[in-house]
Amino acid sequence: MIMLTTQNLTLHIASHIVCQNLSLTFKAGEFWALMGLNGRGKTTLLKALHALHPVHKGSIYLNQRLLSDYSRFTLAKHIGFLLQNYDYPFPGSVLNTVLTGRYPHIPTWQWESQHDYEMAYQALQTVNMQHFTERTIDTLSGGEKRRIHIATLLAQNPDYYLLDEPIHSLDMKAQMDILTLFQSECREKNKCAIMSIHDPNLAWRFCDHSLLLLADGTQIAGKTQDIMTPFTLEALFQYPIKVFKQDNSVFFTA
Amino acid sequence: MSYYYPDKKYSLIPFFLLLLLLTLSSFLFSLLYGSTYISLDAFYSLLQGNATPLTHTLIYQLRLPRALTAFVTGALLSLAGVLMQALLRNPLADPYVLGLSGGSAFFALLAMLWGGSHFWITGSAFSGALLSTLLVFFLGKKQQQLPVSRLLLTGIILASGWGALISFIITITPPEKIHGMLFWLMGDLGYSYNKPLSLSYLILFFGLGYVLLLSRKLNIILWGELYAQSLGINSQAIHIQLLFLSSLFTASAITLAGSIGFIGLIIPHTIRLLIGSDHRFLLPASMLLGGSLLVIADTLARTILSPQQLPVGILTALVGIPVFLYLLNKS
Repeated sequence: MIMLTTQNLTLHIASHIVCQNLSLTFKAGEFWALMGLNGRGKTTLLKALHALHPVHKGSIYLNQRLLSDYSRFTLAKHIGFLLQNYDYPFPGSVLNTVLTGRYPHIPTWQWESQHDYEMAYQALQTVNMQHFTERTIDTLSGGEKRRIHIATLLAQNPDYYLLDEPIHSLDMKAQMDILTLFQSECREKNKCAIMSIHDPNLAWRFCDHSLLLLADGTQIAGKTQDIMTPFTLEALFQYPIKVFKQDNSVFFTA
Repeated sequence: MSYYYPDKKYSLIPFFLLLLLLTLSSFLFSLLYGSTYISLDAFYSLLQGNATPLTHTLIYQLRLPRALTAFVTGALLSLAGVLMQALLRNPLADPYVLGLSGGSAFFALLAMLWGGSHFWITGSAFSGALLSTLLVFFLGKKQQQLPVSRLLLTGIILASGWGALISFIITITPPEKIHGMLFWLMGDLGYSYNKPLSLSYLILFFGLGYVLLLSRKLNIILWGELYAQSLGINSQAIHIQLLFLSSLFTASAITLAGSIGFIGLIIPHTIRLLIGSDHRFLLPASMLLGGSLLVIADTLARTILSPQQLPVGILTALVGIPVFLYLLNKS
């Protein structure tokens, strides 16, 4: 059973509290939205779920085993991280970039196998970038770069996708493509994605679960439809939120 | 479904054969040319064991050791350059960016000022380089972490500090000793036959082996600390290894030949432009190109104005910069 569990988790950045006594289970098949104001600690929480930020109190388990008991290398087979920003001091080809995602699957003494190349090509096909393999990554547009990094994550093929604002500064179609992709990864391939996002409407539409980091330092977690209300969003954004309902859809606006 | 499966291992064989050929030619060039030219015939009879004693001495006692020193120095500097660029994730990084050459030069010049023997100058140069590495490490460290930006700033500040100390020494040095100091500062292979070469061979041989084992990790490290960690690499441990390995390489090179510039910056970039940044190929290719380029530059340095010798550092700059600019414009 694939399961990422936090137990009474408390996280700090210096003296600022990110979450307090958070007990949650992220299961395979679930698509989580992680919401909160800028600087509230979304990235920190995502990092902690990859054992990249110290836990103040409580514990995190991956498949009933403490996260800190895993080696970094093993952890990378289970959990992947899509960073908010990348820079390219030594830009390489698109194909080589995507192949970096295979790193945790290649034994120390070996070269990339045919299978690794296949995974990379398949991932590029999934994001519809298969014709860009020999392009240098810094020559691509912002949206294309994001797709390459997502392909790298798909090539890594972890059970958990930690997505740090995967759709920021993208056009509407690119946003929908990426969200649809991860939704189908969760539903059809039984993965679990945890994604920080600022748009409550997209979160409502794509994410079956939500974790809201409220402005007062507390948090609410649960099924998106149960917990995402104008009331909770106001506590989150510190701004009056209006809601419009039409048929089965709900629209939030500031 | 079938995919194009580029087997990089084999596609680069011609490139490496070419580099090996360049290496061999550079050695031949340096053995034949100098203040006295040795013809190919004379060289051939030397190989067969019937040469004049003069030729024998010239080749085996003078030119061969010097060519070997030049090769090892160039190879060490190029490797150090690749590692420093990976550590600092900065294309502008070279082996000296963290102030190693400054620390080393300060102590070497101090030994020269005191009239120390060759042994003392060499020893001081090596100790100075290691001391300056340790200074950068302990001053750059923060709560068991080694943040790269902090490391770079600490190194640059220390480098300018060493620069001030070096200027101070030169100011108080009597004029007749200045010439030797300037040669040392610009890099010179003049006294290579009485340097501890065998230790440098070992450092180069085992050092290359060790960094080749790290090379796949280095490919990922180029993408940044957080990304490397998320892919299963302990970045901190790699950073510390990189710092000390590149320092060891640089210290050995400086000990052999003073601070020769440009090799450690230009060679890694030249190879990157030719075959890309995969460290499994970048490291050995840089080693071969850096080594042979320094052998050629050194031969030119002792031939062009012979019998007068130029510091080889001048030649590496004059040869290296146009080649590099050409490649940069072509890409």
